[in-house]
Amino acid sequence: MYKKVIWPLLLFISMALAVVFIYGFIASVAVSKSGQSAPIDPQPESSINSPADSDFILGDASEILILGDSIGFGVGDEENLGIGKRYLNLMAEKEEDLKTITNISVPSYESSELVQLIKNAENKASIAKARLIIISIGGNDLNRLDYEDSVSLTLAFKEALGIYKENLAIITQEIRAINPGAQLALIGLYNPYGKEDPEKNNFVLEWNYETSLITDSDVAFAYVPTYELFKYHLNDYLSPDEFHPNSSGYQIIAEELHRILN
Amino acid sequence: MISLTQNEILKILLKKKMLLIFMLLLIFVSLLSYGQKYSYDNTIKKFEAESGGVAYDWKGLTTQRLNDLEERSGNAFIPEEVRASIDREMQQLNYFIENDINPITPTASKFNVQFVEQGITLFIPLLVVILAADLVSSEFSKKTIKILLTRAVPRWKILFSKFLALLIMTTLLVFIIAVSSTLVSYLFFQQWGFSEPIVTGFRLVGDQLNSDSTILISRFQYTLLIYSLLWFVSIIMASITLMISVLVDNSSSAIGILMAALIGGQFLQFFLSEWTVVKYFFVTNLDLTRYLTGSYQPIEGMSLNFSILILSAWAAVALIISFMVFNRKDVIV
Repeated sequence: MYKKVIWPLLLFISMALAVVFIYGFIASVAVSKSGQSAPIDPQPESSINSPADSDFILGDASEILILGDSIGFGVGDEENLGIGKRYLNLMAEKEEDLKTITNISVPSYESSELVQLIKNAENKASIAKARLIIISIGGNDLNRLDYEDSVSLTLAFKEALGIYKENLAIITQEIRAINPGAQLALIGLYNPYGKEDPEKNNFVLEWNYETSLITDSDVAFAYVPTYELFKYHLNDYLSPDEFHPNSSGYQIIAEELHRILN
Repeated sequence: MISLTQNEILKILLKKKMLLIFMLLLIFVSLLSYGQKYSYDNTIKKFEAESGGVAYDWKGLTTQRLNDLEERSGNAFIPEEVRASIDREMQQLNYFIENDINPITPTASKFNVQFVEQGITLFIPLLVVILAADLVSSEFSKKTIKILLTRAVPRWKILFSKFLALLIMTTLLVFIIAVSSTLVSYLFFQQWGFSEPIVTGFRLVGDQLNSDSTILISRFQYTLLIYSLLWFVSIIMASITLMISVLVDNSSSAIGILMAALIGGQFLQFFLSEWTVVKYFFVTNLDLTRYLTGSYQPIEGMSLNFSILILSAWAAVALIISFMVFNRKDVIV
């Protein structure tokens, strides 16, 4: 029985499997290497036209510039105003002279991508002209850690925070090199997950603390805290995706910004 | 040579090791898939209770995500490579909507990949250790080594036939893991999910995770890739276990040493990630699947090729040591 059936069967199955596995092994090495030769182009094609959004006229003096991720972009705002326009509305009550907004935020952007965007020559003009630059960045850097397992989480957090701090310093330097006079404001992070996970709260707090240390090193760099604003009002201020603010959430951020800057 | 290997396989089969391993697998796989099913059902129930009895509408959420991606893809400021990776994600989401599959539903194919991803650093190497630890050492402790060595074959042939038998059984073990985790989890989830598309092909550029070169492949292909990596890791573990089994002359200390190495290695990685020497230890490199899923490198300077190289070096050295020691060892039992 053993010599006639089981042994040839085992031998055949394992040889066939070995062939399949070797093939798969080579394929996975190839997959993880694919495109290694393709160099990344840090500068997007310069032939790309300026944003077609009819609200903004690029090249014209735009006094508020919004840089960053989906929160800068205004994802989740039912009235589609975003922080910039809401702030402008608050200012209009006082008849101040800030009028135009340029929004070059890209949803899902991380700090490293924002560094590239700022270094891009196309955006230098809008940075140079701005009087107020609102930056919202870091949320995606931190949120990506959701995919980490619990063992490597703390390590991954430290690493992400380190990279983020470096990037934020570069962003500040680059902006200051182009536009030394503008008022900067950075929107802090809130915790959209509520009390589910106390460790996440600690991460957000540490993240915000490190961020505020960096903003403090510049004379005209305001840090706009949102953690406390959202903490007890997650149901009121979050949009249905349970991640981005809704219109009241954006309004409260804009009000906080207004209160801090004036 | 072939008849020697045949004999070794028979010995492994008679020890009923495979049965033990299979039972362990069955217990763990059923518990895990039951747990996953339970927590999935709970999440849905909780969601429905919170939203006031409304059925969980994954389609709405997915469509929202899709619209968000479309908007981003249309943004003139993002570079071409990023747009390509957004397009791939949109393709993936479109597949779910077209085929009416909730992206977060647990499926058999998702489960067996997750099982490997979690088990590749500890659980599955331990199964290999159970299989291999007494291969040589039990011959010494049961004193059967005398009978084996009195045959008119060189010692290296005896060890080599043991190694071949171990390779065959390890290959079968990986296959058994694949089959049992797929079948058992199918019983719970009632979904195969092998044709779903999945994104892979992340790579590290400098310190950053780069998704420019990601590709979309089916879950079936992905499972094959993951299991091939598992197979490689198991072969390496088998070689190292063989060495320990030759060096120590009873199987319980062989198992103890390897368990200590595996668990201690995890600690090392956790506490001493600043210390770069740790990346040359084999346990730190076992987790090959993380390079495919695109999670972070545990220690700077580690990549799939690096880990494969280190693991191969460990296995090669382990085999050389086992053959040298086995050839010269005094048999005084």
